[in-house]
Amino acid sequence: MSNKTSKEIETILFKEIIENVEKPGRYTGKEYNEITKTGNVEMIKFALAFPDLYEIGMSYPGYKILYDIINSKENALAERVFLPYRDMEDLMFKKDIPLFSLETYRSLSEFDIVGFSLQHELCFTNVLHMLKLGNIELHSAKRNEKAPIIIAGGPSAFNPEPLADFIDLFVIGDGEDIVKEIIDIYKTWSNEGENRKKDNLLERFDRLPGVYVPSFYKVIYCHDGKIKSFQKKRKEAKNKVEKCIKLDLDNANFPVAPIVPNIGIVHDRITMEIFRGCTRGCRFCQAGMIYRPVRERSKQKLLEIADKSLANTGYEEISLSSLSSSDYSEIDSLIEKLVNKYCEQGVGVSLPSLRIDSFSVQLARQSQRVRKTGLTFAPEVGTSRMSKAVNKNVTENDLYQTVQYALQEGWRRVKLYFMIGLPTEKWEDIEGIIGMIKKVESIGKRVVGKKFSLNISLNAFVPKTHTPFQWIGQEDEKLLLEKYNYIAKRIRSRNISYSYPDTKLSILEAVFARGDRRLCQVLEEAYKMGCKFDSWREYFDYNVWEEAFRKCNLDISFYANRERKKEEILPWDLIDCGVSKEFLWLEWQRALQGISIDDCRLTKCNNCGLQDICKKISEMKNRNQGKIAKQLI
Amino acid sequence: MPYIYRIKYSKDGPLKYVSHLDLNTLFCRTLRRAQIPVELTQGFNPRFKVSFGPALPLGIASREEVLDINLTREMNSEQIKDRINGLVPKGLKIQQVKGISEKDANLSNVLRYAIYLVGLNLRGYEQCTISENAKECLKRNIDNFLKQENIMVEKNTKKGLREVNLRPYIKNLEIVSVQDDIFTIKLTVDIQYRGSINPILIINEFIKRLDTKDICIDNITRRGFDTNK
Repeated sequence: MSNKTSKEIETILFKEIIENVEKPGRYTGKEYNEITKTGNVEMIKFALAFPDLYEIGMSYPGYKILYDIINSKENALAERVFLPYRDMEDLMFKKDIPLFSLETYRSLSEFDIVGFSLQHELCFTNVLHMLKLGNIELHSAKRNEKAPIIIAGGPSAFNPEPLADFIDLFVIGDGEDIVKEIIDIYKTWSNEGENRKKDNLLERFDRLPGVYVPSFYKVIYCHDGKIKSFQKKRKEAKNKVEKCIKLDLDNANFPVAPIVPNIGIVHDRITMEIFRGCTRGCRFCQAGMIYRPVRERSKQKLLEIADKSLANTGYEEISLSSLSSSDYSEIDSLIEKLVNKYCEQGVGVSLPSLRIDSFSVQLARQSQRVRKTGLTFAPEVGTSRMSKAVNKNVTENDLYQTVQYALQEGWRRVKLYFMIGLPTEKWEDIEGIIGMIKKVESIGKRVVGKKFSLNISLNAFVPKTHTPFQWIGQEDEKLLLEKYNYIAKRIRSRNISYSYPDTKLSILEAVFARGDRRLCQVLEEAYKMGCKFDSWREYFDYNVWEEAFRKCNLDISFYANRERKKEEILPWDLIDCGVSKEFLWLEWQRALQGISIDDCRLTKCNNCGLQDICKKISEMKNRNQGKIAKQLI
Repeated sequence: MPYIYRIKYSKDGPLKYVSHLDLNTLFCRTLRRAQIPVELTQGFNPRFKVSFGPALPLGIASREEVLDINLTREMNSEQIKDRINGLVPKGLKIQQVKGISEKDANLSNVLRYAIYLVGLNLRGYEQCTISENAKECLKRNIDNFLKQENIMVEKNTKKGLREVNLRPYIKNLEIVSVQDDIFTIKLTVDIQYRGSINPILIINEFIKRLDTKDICIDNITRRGFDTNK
C-alpha cells in the first residue's frame, strides 16, 4: 500500500469507506477524553498498537495507563492503532490506504515508535498483520533508521523468542516508568543528525533494566532441536533481563480520565486496578508468577481515583480489578465506602474475580446490592489431591458451602471453571469434576429449584513459561477430547450448560507460549498463507499451521507435548521474572508429590526469589505509615 | 409531580456512526458527567429514566433529535443545556431544553413524521432533458413517483430479502432549493406506519426510477420531526 498523509487518509476514510463498513465507530476516533496533541514542539510520536479489534484493545487497563503516561509527557504524543475487521481491511486495500491511528489518521509508518501490547500468544500473527498493513518491514533487520522502532510488552513478552526477528526491543514487566525513559533516549538520538545509527540507539535502550534486544543474541541449537546456548553478539549485552517492577503503585500514574468509547466495547466500565500481583501460588497460573510481588494501592488513593474517574467519564459501573480481588487487605471497607457513595446515583461496583468462600459472596452481595446476576467460581480441579498438586487449595466443601450460601442469598446462576489436562491428572480426577458438578447441581435444585442454572466452562491446560509447570508436556489432544466428551456426556441435564474450547487452539497456544526463535519463520509462513486473528474460531485454520510447520521442518509436538528436563536451556531463560527457576523447579517437585504451600501473605515467606523486593516494599510501607502517623500527631 | 424536560439535540460528525443503542449509553454518560439529577428506574438494574425519539439510521446526521428526561428536582432549562454542552463528545450538541408536562411526555404521540433533507447531485442530468430544465424535469419525476400506489422494493432484513411497499411510508417529497449542481429535496416519512424505514432506501428507489444514471446522493440530513396533525 502506498503512503499517504493524514489528511488524505481522513478524506478517503470519511468519503469512500466509513459508510460501507460494519460498526464504523471502530475507525472514527473522536471519543470523549481522546487526546489529540498538536503544537510546535517536535514531539516523539508513539503508536500504541493493539493487535486486535477496537472493542478488545480498548478494554485493557494497561493500554489506557500507557496512553495517559505518554500523553502527559511534554515531548511525546501517543495515538491508538487497532486492527480493522475484515470488511474494513478489504476496503482499505481497495482504496489503498495504510493502517492509521484514530487520533489524527496518521499512517503507522509515520510514527517514531510503535509499541505492541501482547496479551496472549494467539495474537502474534496479528502483530505481523499490523506491520504489513502499516507499510512496515516485518523483519527488524530490514528496518533502517527511517522506519519506526518496534517495541513489544505485556504478559506474552515474558517469552519474547517467537517474535524475536520482528521486534526491535521487548520491555519486560511494568511499563509505567520505562516508557518515559525510552522516549527520552529516542528523543536524544533523533536530534543527533543524519548519521545516527539504529544499532547505536538499540545499544542505549539495552542499558535500561527490563529491556531485551533480541538481535544482540544468537541462539545455537543442538541436533535434537534443543537450545545449546545463547551467544551474545556484543559483550555489553545482558546476561539476564530483569523485569521492571513499579514498587509504589500510589505513585504510579493511573488514568482518571480514560476515553469513553462511542460504541460498546468488551469491558465497558471503569477498571480500577486495586493491586498488582498475587501470592496464592496456583502452579498453572502465569499471571500469579510474573506479576509478583503483591503491591496494593492505598484505599485513600483508590477512593480518589474512583471519584475522579466517575466524574470525568460518567460511567455507570466501576470494577475493582486484580488477580484475586477479595484478597485486597481492606476490601470490605473499600466496597462499603464506594457503594455508600455511588449507589444512590445508580453506579454499580463489580468484582471480577471471586475467591471460593462465603466472605467473597458477602462482598459480592454488598457490591451488587440490587443486581443479582450470575456468580463465577474457579475450582479448576475436582479432587483434593489435584487441588494440592496445583496449589489451588480449595476444598470441595468450600465450594459446596459457598454455592449454597450464594444461592440462599438470592443468586440463581452459577458458573464454574475447570481445567482439563493438568499434570498428574488421572481418570479419577475427571470423575471428581463430574461429582462436583453433580453435587453443585443438587444443591442448586434443593435451594433454588427448577430455576437454578449451572454453567460449566471446561478449558484445556496450557503450560506457560515462568510457572512450576513450564517443563511439562501438554496432554495429548486425543486424550483431552476424550475427557471433554466424557464429562459432557455425564453432566447432561436441563439445569446445566457447558462449553469447551477448540483443542487445536490450545495446542497452538502451547506451542507459542514456550516456543523458541525458530518459530519466527513458522509465524511468517503461516501469516503469508493467510493466518490471522487465530483466537477467533471463524478465522482459525489449523491445517494451514500444520503446513507452515512442515515447510519449516519443525515439529508441533516438540513444542507442545514434550517434557523438558531440569538441565535443559529454555528459550525464555534470559528473561528473569523475579521468581527464581530453582523455586519453580521445587514447586514442580512438590506438585508431583501432592504437597501444597501456603500463601506467603498469610504465613511465612516461601523464598520464591522476590524476598529483597518484598523487603523494600514493606520498608517503604512502614515509612509511609510513619509519615501519616506524624501528620496525625 | 415528575420534572420532565424535553431535550432537542443535533448529532453529527463522528456520532453519525453511533447506533441508537450506543447513543443511549453515550448520552446517559454525558448526563452523568454533567451531574444532571436524572431519576432512576426501579428494579434489579437501575437505569436513567430517559426516553429517546425514533432511531436515526447509521451514517445520517441530524439537526434536531428529541429526548425526554425525568429529573428528581426542578432545574433551570438553560442551566441544563449549558451544563451538558460543556461536556459533550464531539458531534453532539444540545439545541434546546424545555420543561414539559406529564401529559405531553409521550414522544410517540407527538412525533408523527421525520423530515429529511437530501442533496442530490445532478451533474450531467440536463443533457438528458432537452425540452425542459432540470428542475422542472425533477419535479415531474417526483410527481410521477408520488402518484404510484405501490412502490415495491426488496429490503435486506435479518430474515433475508423481503419485499416492502415504500409508498405508505412517504408522506411527501418536494424540491426545496437548487444550488449549482445540487438539488435539495425534502422527504417526509411517516414514522408511525409499521416501524422505521431507512430514507436512503426511498431515495435510492426514486433515483433508480429516473431516466438517467448521473444522479447520486450528495448528502442527507434529518432536519427533525413534524408533530401529529
